[in-house]
Amino acid sequence: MSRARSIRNRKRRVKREMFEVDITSLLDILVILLVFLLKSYNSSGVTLNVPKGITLPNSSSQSINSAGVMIQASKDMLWVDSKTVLDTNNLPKRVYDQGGSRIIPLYNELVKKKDEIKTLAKQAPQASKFTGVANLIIDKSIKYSYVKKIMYTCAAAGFKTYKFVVIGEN
Amino acid sequence: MAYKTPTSRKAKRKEQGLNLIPILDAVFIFIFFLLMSTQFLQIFEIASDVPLVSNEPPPKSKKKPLALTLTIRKDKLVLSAGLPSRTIKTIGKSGEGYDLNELHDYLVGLKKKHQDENSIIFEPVVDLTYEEIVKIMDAVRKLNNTDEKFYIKDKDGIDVESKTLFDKIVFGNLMS
Repeated sequence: MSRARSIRNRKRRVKREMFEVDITSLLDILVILLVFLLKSYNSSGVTLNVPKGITLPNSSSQSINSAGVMIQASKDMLWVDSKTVLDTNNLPKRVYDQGGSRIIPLYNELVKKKDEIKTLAKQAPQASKFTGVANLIIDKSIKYSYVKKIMYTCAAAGFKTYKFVVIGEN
Repeated sequence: MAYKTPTSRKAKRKEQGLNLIPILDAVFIFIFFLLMSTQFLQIFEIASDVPLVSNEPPPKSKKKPLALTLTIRKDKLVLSAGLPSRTIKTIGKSGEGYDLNELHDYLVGLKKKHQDENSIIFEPVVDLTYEEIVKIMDAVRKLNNTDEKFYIKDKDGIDVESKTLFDKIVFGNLMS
């Protein structure tokens, strides 16, 4: 009779247990990660796209971003909600009017955006209404004379609040 | 005599560990959700309103408005107030930039006297960079932790600590 089947050795036969991984340390790491992510969680729900070529200025501001149309300006490009409206390498015939204060392509795109939002709000009551907020994502090296033109164009298109987007210092 | 179970049959009780697997599942899902909505760059905003141009006379009020205006010139910052406007302070440059500490300290003193005022009109005359304008905006907007604390009454008449200086910034020369 084989040793494995013998009654005498029954006690010695030990049932093989399943190998268990100790996940306590893994759980510790996950909890630390969870705390870190909760701290940097964006509660506003607004996603801002900072295109290549734009370096935002630093500021001590702590105000959370609000929803609105994004106007992104680098040294040689201008976007509205990430759609290119002005490129210095491919300039249209007329860029400015009203004595050089208003940027025509930007004005046209902003008016189009405003009309789109208003039409959508009429058709679907749940859709967000036109707030008149313009999120200005501007490169820190741009001069005030150009920023002023952007602000003037926004005002002319019916946007009554500017939100200068900045990077927190802390 | 009571029956005694043979020692060999006695099953050894194993220590019952806490089953952490469902918690781990939930934490994993939560982490994915947070990773998707996390901003690794802390992006904030500075609000400013479009200046309103009106032919209507201003509403009658017993209290004279402060009408604080900051004119940014090439070599100095000029603070003016009142109607008609008169210069109340001129701040020069320290080193390469404007002396923003002096500007901030002066505005803290001014805020103490006019606690219900929170508007300031910016009039940059010189063509500064956007970064420099943001720095000046920072100096006029908020009280620093090192500044002397002062309290203002809220709508219920309760004293609350003021955390802002002149945080309603309007660019006055946009239309010119």
